[in-house]
Amino acid sequence: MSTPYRRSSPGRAGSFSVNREALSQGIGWLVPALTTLTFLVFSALPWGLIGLPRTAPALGLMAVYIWAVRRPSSMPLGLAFGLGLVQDLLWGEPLGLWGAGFVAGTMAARAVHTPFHVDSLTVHWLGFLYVLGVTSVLVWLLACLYYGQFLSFGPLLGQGLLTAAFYPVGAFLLRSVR
Amino acid sequence: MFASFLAFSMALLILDRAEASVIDKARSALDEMTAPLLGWLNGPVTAVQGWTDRAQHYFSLYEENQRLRAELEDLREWRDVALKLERKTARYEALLNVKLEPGIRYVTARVTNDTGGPFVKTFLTNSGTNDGLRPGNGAIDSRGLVGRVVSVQDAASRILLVTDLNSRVPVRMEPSGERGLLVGTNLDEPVLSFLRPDAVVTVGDRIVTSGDGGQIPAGIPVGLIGEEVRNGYRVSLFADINNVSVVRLIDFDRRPIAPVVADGPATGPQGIADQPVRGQNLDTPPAAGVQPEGGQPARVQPASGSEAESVEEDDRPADASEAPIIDPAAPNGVGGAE
Repeated sequence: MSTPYRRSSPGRAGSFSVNREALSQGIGWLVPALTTLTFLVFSALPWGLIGLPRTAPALGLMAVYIWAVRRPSSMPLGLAFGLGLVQDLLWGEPLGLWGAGFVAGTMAARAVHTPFHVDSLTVHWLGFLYVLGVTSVLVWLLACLYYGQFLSFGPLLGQGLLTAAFYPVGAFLLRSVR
Repeated sequence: MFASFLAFSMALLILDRAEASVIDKARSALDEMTAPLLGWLNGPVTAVQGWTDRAQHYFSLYEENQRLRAELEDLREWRDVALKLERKTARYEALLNVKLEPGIRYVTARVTNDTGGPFVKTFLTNSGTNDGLRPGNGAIDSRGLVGRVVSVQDAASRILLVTDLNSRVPVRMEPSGERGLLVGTNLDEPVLSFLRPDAVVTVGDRIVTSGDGGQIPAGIPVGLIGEEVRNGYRVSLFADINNVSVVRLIDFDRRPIAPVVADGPATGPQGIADQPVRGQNLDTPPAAGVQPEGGQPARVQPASGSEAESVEEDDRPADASEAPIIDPAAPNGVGGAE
C-alpha cells in the first residue's frame, strides 16, 4: 500500500502534504496493530464447539506475516513483540513465548519477502509455511526450556497445519484493509 | 536486534516461571478486560453450535427416542433403589456420627474464551469473585471433572483443564480405593501416576476425585483407566473436554464445621462420638454430591446448556423426591446421558 504523497509546493498545501506523510508514517503501525489484535481475539474464541480442533489457528502470526510482507515498515519488531505478548496473555501461555515467536516470524517474513517479491498468493502461502516452521520450532524450544521437559510437537504441528489452511481467508481479509 | 528480544522473552519466561505477581496481575487484568468482549463475540459461535447440534439430532430423532425410552425404564428402577440406599446411608451416618463434608454450592458459568495455545489448556468463564468463586474451586461438566479455577477476577475466572501439563488432581480408583495423582500431559488423555508400587490397577476401573487437599470434593467422576504407559496409566476422561460450553464451578466450603450438639449423645462404636458433627434429621438425605469415603459415586447434576448467565444454586434437595438420579449402569454414574 503506497502512501499518497503530493509533491511539496510553497504555501499551505505543501505543508499539508508533508504533515500527511508524517502522520501516515507515525500511525502507519496502527491499522496493522488493530487488525492483528482483532485476529488475536478471534483466535481466542472456543472454535472447538463447532467441530474445529480445540487448538486454534495462530491467526495473530498470520496477520503479522501478512503485514510484514505487504508493508515491512508497518510491522516493526517491537510491535510484533508486543502483539506476541498479548497473545501469550490471551491464551494463558507462558509470557514471552509468542513474543519471541512473533519477532522471529517477522524477521523470517522479511527475509522471505526480499528475494521473492512476487505478488502471488501461492508464493506468499509458501513463504508463510516457512515462517510458520521457523516460529513453531522456536516456540517449541522455548516451551521445552520453560517446562523443563521434551514436549510433544504434535499440538504445535496440528496448529500449524490449521493455520496454513486458514491462510487464504486471512490474506483475503487483510488485503481488503486499506 | 533479535538477540535482545529473545533475551527479554527469556527474562519474562523466568519471571513467569517464578510466578511473579506483576505477570499474574497483567494476565488477570487482560482476562477481566477481554471477558465481556469475548462473551459477546462468542454469541455467534454458540449459535452455530446450536444449529449444528439441532441438525445432528434432527436426523437421529427416532433412534434417540428409542434409546431414551429404554434408558428411562432402566432409570426408574434404579431411582427407587437409589432413594432407599440414600435414606439408609443417611440413617447410618447419623447413627455413627459421621463427620460430613462441608456444604457444596455450584455456580454455573459460560465458557467465553478457549485458549487455542498448543502448550496450555485453559479457558475463561464469565463468573468470578462476584459469584463467590476462588482459586482451587473444581469445574465439572455434565459428565465429570473438567479442571479447576486457577485465577479469579470480579466477573471472570480462568479454568486449568485436567489435561494441562501443570494440572495435578488427587484421585482414587474404584472399587479398589487406591489413590494416585491425575497428571496432565497436554494430550486429551491425562495419566494416572504416583501410585503405590504394589497397587493393583485394572484397566476399565473408574477414577473419581479423592478429596485430598480439600479443594475438590471427593467422589467427582473423572474417567476410566486405560492402557499402561511409561509413567502410569492413561485415563479416558468422562468430561467432553473439547466441547465444553457451560461448566459448573464447585464452591467447596472448606471452613471448619462448627460444633453442633446432636439430638442425643449418640456414641459410635469407633469412639468418634466426641467429634463435632453437623446436626442432621434422620429422615433428611445428606447433601447431594457429598460422599463418604468408599461410598456411592458423587451425584453430579447435568449442567443446563441453556443457562447463559451464572446461576448460584444450592444443591441440597428439599426432600428425597428431588434427589438426582443415580445410574450405576452409566459409565460415570450419572443418570441421563446427553
